[in-house]
Amino acid sequence: MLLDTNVVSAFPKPDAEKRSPSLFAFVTEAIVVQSLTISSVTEFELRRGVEELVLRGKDRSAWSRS
Amino acid sequence: MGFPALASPAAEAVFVLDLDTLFRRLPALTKAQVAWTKPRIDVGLKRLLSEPIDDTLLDDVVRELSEPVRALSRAVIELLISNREEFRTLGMDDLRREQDRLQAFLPDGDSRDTLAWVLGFLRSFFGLCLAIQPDQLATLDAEQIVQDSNNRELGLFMRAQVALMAAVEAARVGAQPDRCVRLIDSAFLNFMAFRTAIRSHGLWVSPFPNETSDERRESLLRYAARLRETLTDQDWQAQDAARVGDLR
Repeated sequence: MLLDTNVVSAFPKPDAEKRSPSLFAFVTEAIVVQSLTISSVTEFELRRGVEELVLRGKDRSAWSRS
Repeated sequence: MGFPALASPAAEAVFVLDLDTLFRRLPALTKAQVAWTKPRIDVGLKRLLSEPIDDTLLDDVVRELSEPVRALSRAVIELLISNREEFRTLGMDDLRREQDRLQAFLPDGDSRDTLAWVLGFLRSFFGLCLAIQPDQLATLDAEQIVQDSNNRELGLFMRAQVALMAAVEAARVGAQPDRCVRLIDSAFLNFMAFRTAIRSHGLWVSPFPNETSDERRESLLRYAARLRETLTDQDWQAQDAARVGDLR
């Protein structure tokens, strides 16, 4: 099953189980019983977001040293 | 096959992260020939254990360590040529032992997961390097490798390897665990960038090549739970903002 970025990024959000119970249950079950996959576009979007967070982390450490 | 992407890092890899262990594996004559490398590498690693860690320091230490690490790599390649299977077994065992030692030293599950990725990737990469015929590695032009020092893939690999060697040293001497965590994070980020870079040459290295479907599922759920604990709403806003709104 191919998951879209909004599903992939909603699942690990804080309180995902409370905020989107049906999505949470759907993805949890899909992980347990099915083979999941994501598209290259989703992978790119997630990597892009992670890079942004990494850069912000560098900014934070640079600020804390100054 | 991305041989060019693999060849230079393979010729620079020391294969074993703990120098004392590596020196024990070397024949007496080779050991004497490369004895000069150890004090120089020790000095560089000590800097990473005592000075504030950032990319500038890491690049500085990588430059200082480039020549001794290259000499040591040549010694390892000679050892590989003489006894590849034995070295493969011993090298992989050494990596496992170092992973156990680091795992016990790290303070939290997050950093232990990062370490498992880093050493899993390194084991897979070394496995691929060992698939290259050692005599082919030995014929790599030394001058070319020096020129390749400016090559991006090699630079990322060296940064990751040196950070990891310093992390091993941190655990060995009982340094602050937080410093060890930062070094492993740095190794992870550089290996990730290296993996992406060599992927563009058609070379795909999995950190968990033998993972079963059940292990994969269990890891996915665990990583998702960890992300829920770690990332803030603000972080998720940044993540959501990174989406591509329009592909045209």
